[in-house]
Amino acid sequence: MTWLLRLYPRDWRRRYGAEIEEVVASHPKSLQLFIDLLGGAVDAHLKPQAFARRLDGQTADRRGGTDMVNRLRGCGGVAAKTTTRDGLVAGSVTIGSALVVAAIMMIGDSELTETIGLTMFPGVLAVGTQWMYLRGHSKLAKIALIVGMFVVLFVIGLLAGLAVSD
Amino acid sequence: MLILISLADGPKHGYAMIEDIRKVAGVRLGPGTLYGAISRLESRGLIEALAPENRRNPYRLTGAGERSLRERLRVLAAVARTGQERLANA
Repeated sequence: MTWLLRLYPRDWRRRYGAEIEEVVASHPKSLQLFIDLLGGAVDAHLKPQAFARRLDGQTADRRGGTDMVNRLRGCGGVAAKTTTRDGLVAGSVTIGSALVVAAIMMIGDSELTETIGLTMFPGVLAVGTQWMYLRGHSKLAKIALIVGMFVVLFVIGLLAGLAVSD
Repeated sequence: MLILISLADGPKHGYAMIEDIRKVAGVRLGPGTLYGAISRLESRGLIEALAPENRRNPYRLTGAGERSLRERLRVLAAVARTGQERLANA
């Protein structure tokens, strides 16, 4: 089942790959192990800043040593080390994407495009997050989260639009 | 915290930690869960890797890790004591 380790980020594999391979080899193969490794891969992609370096060169004690503080820092985008420029880019991209969706709604001029356009607006907010909250995450994680959100919203919009058209 | 407790009596590599935690807490951690936690503890400076032995990397508690564990256990003990007292008075 060590093939599942290929799903982990390259840097992560370089650091822990040999060790975890050894542990996986001595672990009984089971569905539980499969799910555990899969979950670990998602976790490693979503928290790339967590391994092999300390944030801001601070020790755990100087940061207060509490998980809650770290989580709040992460929620505020602080852990991702975003700059004012990142904020401006994220804002511009969000506004630009919103205008594109609005234009599609106006050009389409039907109940179907209007409904899809309205449901796509939350997705527009996600586009800008790659310069803010998703900064530092792998390309795979960014694509999965942003494209995934658009797909889900598109399907909801399509179903709602078809219901309205009927 | 289970990993910190496991390393409290000396350095251990991944498989030894899994076995120790299973004996101490009755929980069998999967390799994905274990190494996710190890990476976080290492990045927070609570544990550190020692020189590799074959393909295994032993880990040990750092000074910050030991202080963090003591603090967590102190809080946990206080919570347990309060719970016991309230149950006794119920």
